[in-house]
Amino acid sequence: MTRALQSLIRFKDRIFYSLIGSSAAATGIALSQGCKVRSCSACYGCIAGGSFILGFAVFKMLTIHFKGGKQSSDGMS
Amino acid sequence: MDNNNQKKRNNYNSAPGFFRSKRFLFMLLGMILFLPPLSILPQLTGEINFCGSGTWCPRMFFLWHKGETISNYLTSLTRTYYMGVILVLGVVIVTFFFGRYWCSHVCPIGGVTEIGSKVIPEGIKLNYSTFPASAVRYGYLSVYLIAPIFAIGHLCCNYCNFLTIPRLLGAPFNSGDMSYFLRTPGIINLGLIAILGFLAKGGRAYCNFLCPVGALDALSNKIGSRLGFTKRMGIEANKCDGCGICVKPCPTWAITLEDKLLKINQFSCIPCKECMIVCPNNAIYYGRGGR
Repeated sequence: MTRALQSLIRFKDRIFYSLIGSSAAATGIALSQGCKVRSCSACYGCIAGGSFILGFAVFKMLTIHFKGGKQSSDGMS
Repeated sequence: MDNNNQKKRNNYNSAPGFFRSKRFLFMLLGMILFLPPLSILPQLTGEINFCGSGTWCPRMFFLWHKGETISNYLTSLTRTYYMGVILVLGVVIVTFFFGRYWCSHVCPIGGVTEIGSKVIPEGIKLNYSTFPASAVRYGYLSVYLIAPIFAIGHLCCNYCNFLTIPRLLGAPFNSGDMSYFLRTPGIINLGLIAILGFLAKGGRAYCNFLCPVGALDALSNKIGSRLGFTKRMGIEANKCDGCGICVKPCPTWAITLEDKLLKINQFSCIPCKECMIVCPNNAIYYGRGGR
């Protein structure tokens, strides 16, 4: 695999996992104290979206936990 | 080959156990100084514990809230959160030159979860090491910092282990702390500490994913590691045979092995030196030029 393609995949992974971190924080805000953005009528969308991404992360983690997997190298070393 | 493997096994088995290490003693000291029932340092400034009214809080002060003026912000830094400011500045400066010693040796919060995880059987621990912790951490941190500015809300105190651990240790002595765990935030935080702390491989998943102080500290660690005069954990490539024995004991999953080539992620590495202890070839060191 070319170096450029590897970099691209790593960049995509970083964005994806940053999104998981952001979702965790955003869902946490919505769940724990309610979002303060008044233009939005409810926070179900945020919670559903965040929960979906977090759920996917937990699913992936559990799959790797039970099937075994390689320790991540996030390309930031 | 067999002799070589036997040598490694012997080395691993004869390595001093965690509970006999100096690092464990430093962690205990950190817990005695910062956490209940003694909370020696917070009590010197009239606080009941590390969390208290915010004087020692290392997480509240860097949140900028919508509508807050510079004057108000600076006043809160110097009058309300001053010990937290001093603490975080000290931690970041020490990290820049010597690595994340606060996280590895002193932090009473990470210390409690790491020590707790040592007594949990390995078989039931959750392995988060497949997640690129740095990306998750900075994604979380960005919302943590940006949300208060736009008045969307904040996570400070809600998912805070600096609040939960002192209350957990204070609960046997204080009914107020005990009642915290009977309310929803207390139950959620307790769950977080269990899943990302005690039940996590290495006991440091919360530190790796959600700790804002750890995120700032990691940034200082990474920037400092680019300079030649700072001290960091490093690998001597000519001594390393790529056996990978050092990967398992790393509490922050900072070491990766790819094609028999070890890498230390300076965003995650804390100088706990667990890898150095188990390395049969003395290929891992702590010193100037470590990368």
